[in-house]
Amino acid sequence: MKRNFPIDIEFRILDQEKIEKIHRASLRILEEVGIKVTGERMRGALAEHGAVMEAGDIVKIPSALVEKALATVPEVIRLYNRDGEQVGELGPERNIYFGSIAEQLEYLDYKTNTARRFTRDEMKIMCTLQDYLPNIAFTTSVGILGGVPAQLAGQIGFIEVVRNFTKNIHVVTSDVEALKDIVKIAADLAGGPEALAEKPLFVYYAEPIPPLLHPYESNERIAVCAEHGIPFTYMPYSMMGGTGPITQAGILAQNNAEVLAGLVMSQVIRQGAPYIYGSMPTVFDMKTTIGSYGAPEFHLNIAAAAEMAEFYGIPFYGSAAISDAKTIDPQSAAELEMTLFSAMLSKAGLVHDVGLLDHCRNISPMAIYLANEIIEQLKYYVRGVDVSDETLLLDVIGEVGPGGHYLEHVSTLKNFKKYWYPKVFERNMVNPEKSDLLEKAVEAIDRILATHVPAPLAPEKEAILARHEAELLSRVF
Amino acid sequence: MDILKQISQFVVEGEPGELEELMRRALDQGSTARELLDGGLLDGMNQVGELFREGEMFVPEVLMSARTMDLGMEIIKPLLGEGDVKVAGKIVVATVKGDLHDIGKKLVCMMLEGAGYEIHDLGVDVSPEDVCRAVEEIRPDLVGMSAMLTTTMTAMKETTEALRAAGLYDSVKVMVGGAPINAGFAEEIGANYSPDATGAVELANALMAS
Repeated sequence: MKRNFPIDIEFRILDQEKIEKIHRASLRILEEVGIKVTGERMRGALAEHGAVMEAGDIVKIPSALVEKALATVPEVIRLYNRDGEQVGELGPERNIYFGSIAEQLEYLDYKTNTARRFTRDEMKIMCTLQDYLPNIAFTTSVGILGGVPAQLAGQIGFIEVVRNFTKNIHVVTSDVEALKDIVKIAADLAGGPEALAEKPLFVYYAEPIPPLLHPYESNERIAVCAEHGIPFTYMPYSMMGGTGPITQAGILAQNNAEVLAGLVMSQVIRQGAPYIYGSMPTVFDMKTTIGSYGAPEFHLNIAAAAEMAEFYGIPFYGSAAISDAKTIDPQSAAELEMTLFSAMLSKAGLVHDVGLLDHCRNISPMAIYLANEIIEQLKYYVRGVDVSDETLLLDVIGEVGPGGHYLEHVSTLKNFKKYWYPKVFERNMVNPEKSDLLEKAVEAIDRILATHVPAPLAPEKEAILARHEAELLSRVF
Repeated sequence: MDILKQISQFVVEGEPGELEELMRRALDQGSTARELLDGGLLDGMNQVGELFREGEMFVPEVLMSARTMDLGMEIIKPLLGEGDVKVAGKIVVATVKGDLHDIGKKLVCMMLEGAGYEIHDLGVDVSPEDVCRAVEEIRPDLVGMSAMLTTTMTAMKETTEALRAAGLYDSVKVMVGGAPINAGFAEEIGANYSPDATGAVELANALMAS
């Protein structure tokens, strides 16, 4: 599969020496400080493979075990949609896919630019818009859908997304039981557990609890996904000076140790289990106490962590088009642009949370819409400059000569469309006194929602979903 | 500078090392323990609270000041009469059942301690039964609960219901916080909400006063 769009820019945060220092520091953390692991299955598996078990649920992981895991983890992960059609591939070719989420605590109304509680109705809007936008490659069922019993939110959310979304699906759940149910549903949709393992219908992500806590609730998910061949992302979310060391090197080392620990856990359950390196090492704002979503250091840390993933030959899961601002305003616009630029330049393969504002409280369709435009814009930057005999146009320069012009030259005619022509941003010669960009964007989103219909699910698959939904609801009613 | 003001200043600046010597000198010079407490230590912490609210002081600095205040308290506690040292309030705090996240709760506890509260932290993944047991034993004024997941929010509801069932709810005031929590949810379950640690201190003070 060829790369999804060209990237020809040298962007590097960590040189080889820094990468190796962080790597060695992580190994020391795993060997000398250890992690806390609860749950008999994972503890047993780790012990069996040579991890050192100490009092207080501390587990120390020898470097040899890390090296072994790095040798068996796959470098390439294929991405599929609900019908088992391949829609992407993660690996050394550096394809990059941006995605969003299907639900959040709050919804930023795209007409009024004000936030309100997220209800089940908004989920359809999320799926339709994201299914339509060309630069959005996946959505995530986050497992917090309101209006359904909490213990079913993950499963019902997944079912809703499968019904309304034709691209790659990601899943997060609040507990491991919901994941187990979702695996069953996906296996039925795929045509059995073997079919699911061959073409997994979703990507999953979970987190440890920094610093260095990997409880049953986290590690059981690693195990379930490893067993069923579901690509598993382990994404520590930590804050410098709070749940991680105050320095960037320190938090990158701690973060790297957490991810390597998760990798070991996935490989001791099943060698060759698909695993993705995730990272969210951010700033703990010491004035307001938020974990910042827009901080420059957050995105620098993410991109640096992506270089660690590249070093190991594992795909990376990043974040972009996110903001600490609550509404569409100059701050969120700036943070959307900055974070997307950082992600585009980085070694990330999957980039999530597009459109997430108010430091993770609301999801904004307008932000997703604008992000789609910004991603397009940035593609034209990161493709770099092609310098060759063909592109230098020396003969044309000679032809046109001093004082001439290139407007009518055949080379201009043939190539001018290779530059970016914005669909949303404006370049009027005479601009209106008051910007109408947002007004036009609202109309565009209205049109998308009114006319785009994600291809319906095949009737036999809808029947499978309906059956599962009925069974789930029967547990509570 | 007047010696009480100096003590207050050391608390604001978070200088525990210098404080002990200064307090002993003040006592030698005839200041009472009560004066050192009110005019020195508490005065300092009040300034810290103000400065933090105004964005002039940051969390790690506030925590240093709180530690300094603690040290000062160690020195004068043996000298204060029984009725003199009144804690601002007693609070039992927990991250609820099913939830292991606690950085926010830790920060709230440290801030409350700095504001003079006596903290009983039950840890994480604490069942409604264990909260009730602690409330029965400790007889706190306040109960604080923290959750980071929407699924564990329900445990907050179960805990307030357990307190009611055990006849303990009326003897305490309940405070809740965490990423998925909001005022509406708190009201539903008969609790009070604050969005951050400073808010928690203000809320605790307001609940104690009412």
